[in-house]
Amino acid sequence: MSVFSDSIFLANGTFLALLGAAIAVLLAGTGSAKGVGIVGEAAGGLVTEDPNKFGQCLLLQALPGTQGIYGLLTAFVIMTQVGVLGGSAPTLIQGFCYLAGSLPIAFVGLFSGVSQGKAAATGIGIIAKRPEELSKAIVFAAMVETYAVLALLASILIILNVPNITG
Amino acid sequence: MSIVKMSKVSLVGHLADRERLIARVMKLGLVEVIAFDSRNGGEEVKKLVSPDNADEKAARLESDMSRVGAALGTLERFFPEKTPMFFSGKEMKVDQYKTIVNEFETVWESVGALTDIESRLAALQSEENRQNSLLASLTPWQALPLPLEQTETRTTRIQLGVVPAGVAQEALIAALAEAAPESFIENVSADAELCYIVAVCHRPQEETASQVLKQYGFARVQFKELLGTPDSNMRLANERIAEIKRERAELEQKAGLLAPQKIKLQVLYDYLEIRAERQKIVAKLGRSDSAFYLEGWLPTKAVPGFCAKITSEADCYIETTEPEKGEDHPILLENPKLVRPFEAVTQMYSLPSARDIDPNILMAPFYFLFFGMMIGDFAYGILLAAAIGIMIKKFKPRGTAGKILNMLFLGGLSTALWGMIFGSYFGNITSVLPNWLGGGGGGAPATGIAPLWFDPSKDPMKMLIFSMIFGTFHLFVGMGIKMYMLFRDGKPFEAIFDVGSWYLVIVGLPLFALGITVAGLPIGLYTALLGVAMLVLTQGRSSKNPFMKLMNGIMSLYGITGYLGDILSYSRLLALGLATGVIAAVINTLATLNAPGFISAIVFLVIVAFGTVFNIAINALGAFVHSSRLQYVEFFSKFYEGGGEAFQPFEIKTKYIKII
Repeated sequence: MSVFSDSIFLANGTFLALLGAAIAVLLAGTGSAKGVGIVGEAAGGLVTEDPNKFGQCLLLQALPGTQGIYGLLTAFVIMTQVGVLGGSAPTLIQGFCYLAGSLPIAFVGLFSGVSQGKAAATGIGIIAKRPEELSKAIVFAAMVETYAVLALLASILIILNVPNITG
Repeated sequence: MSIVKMSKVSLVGHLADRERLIARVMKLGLVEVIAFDSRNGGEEVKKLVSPDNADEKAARLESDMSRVGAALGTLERFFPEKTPMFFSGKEMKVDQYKTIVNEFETVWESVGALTDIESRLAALQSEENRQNSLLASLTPWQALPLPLEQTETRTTRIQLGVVPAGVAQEALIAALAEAAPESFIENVSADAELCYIVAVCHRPQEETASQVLKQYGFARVQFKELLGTPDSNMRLANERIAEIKRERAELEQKAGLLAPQKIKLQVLYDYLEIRAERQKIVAKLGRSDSAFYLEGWLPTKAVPGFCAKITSEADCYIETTEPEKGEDHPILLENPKLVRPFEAVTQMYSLPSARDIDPNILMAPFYFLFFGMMIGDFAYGILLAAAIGIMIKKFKPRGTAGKILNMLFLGGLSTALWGMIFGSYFGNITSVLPNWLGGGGGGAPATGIAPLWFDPSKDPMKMLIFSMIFGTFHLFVGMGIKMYMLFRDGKPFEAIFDVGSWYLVIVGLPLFALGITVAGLPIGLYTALLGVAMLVLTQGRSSKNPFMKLMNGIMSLYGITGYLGDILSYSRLLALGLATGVIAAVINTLATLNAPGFISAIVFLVIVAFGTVFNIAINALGAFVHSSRLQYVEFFSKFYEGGGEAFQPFEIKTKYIKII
């Protein structure tokens, strides 16, 4: 322990907790940005042909945006517990736990955001040819989202229980 | 309540009454006509397919429609009229409609006038383009004092032309002076790319002069069919353009006089459309020399009324039969008013087939509760319901759009309900705001409005378990429908062993895991084991080999992973609800960062207002998507077949006018 606690960064767990918060926003946000971008590119092509489909396309484009929000959420919950927006500075062990808790939404957010973007982008094709089947396109994209939701759940449950960890 | 029962109706009438009866059937709007030529019967049937050129008549009516439509388009361009978002037709009294129908001759004159105006406008437009391009080509030559038709005098040749802007003028002039002395060359004008040049030379020197000019990239320009100087030609063109503008204004004024006729044109359009639709139906009928035959689907309970009204119109013979068992028929759903909005969810997936149970009445309560749980905030729910309510009041949407809006309205109410249960009002504002305003005033911090039950963000595990129990109940209802359908179809064995055994397993395992005992016995274990035994013994029944029977039975237990995945999937009820609450908390924290005061009060209001709109929008989308998904993937997969075709009765459908 002494090796760690000699470092200024590791005098307590604050740095590690905030690192976790940053990673959650960073990776999940990247995933969403890529996903939303992929759908936007596909939607741009369709809207050039048929500007009336803008609304339906926007709906699909919004879907891969949730991972970024989940990442921010996770970061915020961490911040409210470690003395940034409330709570108190965590111990070193707790800091590692916060870092661990941020990982599910960070990584699943990154990859599911991109995959959901791809699924939603093919949905743009459905809107182009059969606009009445929009809901099916949404469901295909929402199937991917499930795993981001599950990751968010894991992250939040871990983080909310960190204050109970002593050491 | 369910899928409306349909009867097949066959109607035979005199050919002379055909138009009248078809018009009556259309007005009643109760029958979906089956095309006569869709039946298989070979030559015999083909001979009876209605031949009366109805298709051609319909096509003629449709081309009339497109003429009227184009005339309406002209009016619309000059006198645009804002149509509401969900437009379903202007209302009109029958008398007024009939008066207009009697005036159709004058309406057709208006259509003709508008068609003329439109074609005249198109001609003017193309002429204007021509004049403009002429102007553009003449502009560089404007300073030339010579008439364009003059290309020679008694002793000289005159050439107009261009050289690229990069050519050294002095060199050209010098070269020309040397090769053909006494020639004249002058720069009329120049722009970024070209120099516009007039060159005059003596006739005997024409050849040499032309060669020199060519060396410097001279390209000749000729204006055929133009007389007079460029300047006078330009003046003429400008005058013509002004004239065109005047003429166009006149035409627009003329169209303006016809603007009040718009409603009459719309009536004419609808009138033609109704007639075209009728002809399309006539094309689907069968006929002999003196009679016609109509076949179609009709809601069974409308049969007596239909028969009475049709036979009072003209003598005819009507026969109705029930569909054969398992025969597909068009699907019409009938549900209580509160359930109807949720039909949109099923429609978006797939309509039930004739063999299905209409899932709406069982699905609607779950959808309602799921949607609310996924947002779960009193204030958000009220705001959502209010916003949607205003939209419904204002636009009176119909069809699927109307159903979805009504569903969102109910979803808003559900959201408010769950908000009270979870104690969420704009997230945690009821505790944040008093603490902010009374900050530093001592005393215990405010805790806000207490939840009626519990706050999921304080006790997420409890909420997780509740979500899954709720989800399991949802699945059980779906499995129950499957059992009912199997019993109904005379397959009690499948109902009990394929579905019932899973009930035992899914109920038994958690009871066993929690160690619940009844009278000292681990009742959960016994229940689960009974279910497992039923599965192992029956699920391999399709195999012949006894060893394979057992293997397949054991393999079927792997299905538990499917059920486990389904149940875990309901954890999204917690996750999405938490997401709304946490975003609201972020908004509230940001809004109360500064010490209270006048400016920070404004900042507070702005942040909360924008944040709330964002939070409601993003989470309402999420709640809509995920509530639908829970129905489609978890619920419908247990029993639902789908694939039904919607009932599309032959009825009066108009674009502009709704007769009241």
